[in-house]
Amino acid sequence: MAGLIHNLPAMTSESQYRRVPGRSGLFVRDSLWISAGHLLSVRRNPFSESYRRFYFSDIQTIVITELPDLLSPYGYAAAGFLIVTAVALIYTRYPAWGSLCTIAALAAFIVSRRSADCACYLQTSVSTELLPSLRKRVDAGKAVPLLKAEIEKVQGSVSAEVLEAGSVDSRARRLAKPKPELRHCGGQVHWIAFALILVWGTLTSMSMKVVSFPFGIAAGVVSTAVLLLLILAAIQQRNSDLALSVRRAVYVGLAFYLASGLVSFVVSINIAWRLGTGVKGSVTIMDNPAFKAFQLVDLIAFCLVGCVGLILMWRHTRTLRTPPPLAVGNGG
Amino acid sequence: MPFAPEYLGCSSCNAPIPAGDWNREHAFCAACRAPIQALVFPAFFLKPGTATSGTPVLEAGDASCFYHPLKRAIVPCDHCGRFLCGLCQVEFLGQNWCPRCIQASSEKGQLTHLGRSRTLYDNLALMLAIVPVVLVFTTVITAPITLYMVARYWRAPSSILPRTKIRFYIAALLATIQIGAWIWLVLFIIYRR
Repeated sequence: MAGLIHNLPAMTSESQYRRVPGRSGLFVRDSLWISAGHLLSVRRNPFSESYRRFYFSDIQTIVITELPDLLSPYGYAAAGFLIVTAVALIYTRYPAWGSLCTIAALAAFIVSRRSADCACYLQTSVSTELLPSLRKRVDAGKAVPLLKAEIEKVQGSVSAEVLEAGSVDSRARRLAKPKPELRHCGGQVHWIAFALILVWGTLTSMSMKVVSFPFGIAAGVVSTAVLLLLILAAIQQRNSDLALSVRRAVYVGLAFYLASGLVSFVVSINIAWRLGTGVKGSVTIMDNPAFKAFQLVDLIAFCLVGCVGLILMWRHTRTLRTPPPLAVGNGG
Repeated sequence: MPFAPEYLGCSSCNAPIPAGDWNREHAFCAACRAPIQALVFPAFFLKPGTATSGTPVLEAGDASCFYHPLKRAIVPCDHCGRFLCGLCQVEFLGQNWCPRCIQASSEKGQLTHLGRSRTLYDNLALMLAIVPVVLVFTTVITAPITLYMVARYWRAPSSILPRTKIRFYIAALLATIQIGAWIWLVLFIIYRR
């Protein structure tokens, strides 16, 4: 035991903690602190703090990976959209709703700004831990040199020959280690989603010709189902063997869905603005030629996405199609 | 230096990072093409240390370990005086400890550097002073409780990070104001009659 905790005396001296750049969370906050001999990872709840100590002599590696920042563009777009809505609401004398929208825009902006764009892992001989406070590249860029300097003060730096030897060994290990396998995805959800897009297109085109309440309701239900299925498909296809083109088609469909909603709103506001007091309910806006034109473009684009998605799925299944396993019969 | 490097994987896809990319400023994962930076330190190449298991008692007159009677004692615990073998001896704070003394001191909060969590009583007191103000009448109960908490936990160990007692001061001030307001209200009602 004495051998295992040889570094305990180093940590017991009264030490002052120094803050490492970067933190995460709003109510539950994570931060990193440096002291003589160890790095302290702190998770602060409103009424308590929990600590994890990583001794500089034990730290083996730090791996920083830049992550694609997928969420923040949508967040910024949502914030912008909410701001526009807030201005429109305040202008149309709904200040309470306008204020709510402003708060929501602010929240969307803050969430987007704080969304993670990198992951930092610290490895010791017993565990590999994520450092949640280093979730922004800027923070990681400031913090990692600090940590590196402190660790190298204790351990020294790795010599070139050791790295070279590691290179040989690692190559051998890499050859021995099989690549992580991708999860199989049948793509049933994708088939249904793309097919429903076409169904939705048909229903919408019919409701454009004939103003009918049941058609409108059916189109709305199918539209919601399409959105849910696209989200489900996007979740299912992560780390799967599905063709890249199909995966992209799903993302395009989702992006297009959001863009369509946004543009529809902007067009409606614009028409209402231009008509001024002439607006007598939503029917006036929907009957407007500009809105009809937008609907038509929207319909064509959606049908295109659906058709392309179905074709890509067909191509994908055709390339994947393998003969069924041979049946082992007893009669031999 | 014994050489036994471990597997080092990308944080995004867990694919192995080639050693050629270790300690490089800019590198890319071969599998997911994510930009990575893998910093490797000498501890990565070290074999984990092995603990001493203690030597067995050989002669009849040898002192044995309190926890392992068949092992020879090498040192007494500086706190409880029990004899300890090589397995049980813990060097800590420049002294020899037995595992039980470490555990007991840690549970009593005497070994601050081994603590894994702390309750932030100052935050609790501050919340107790602020939140009930919304309901007004609950402050009759919460204000004295806040003052009690401030007095009770003033010297209690707080965060191990740099932290002032400003929250305690504010909580005490707010609680005093609330109690004062209630006293004033009661007196006002009495004297008005």
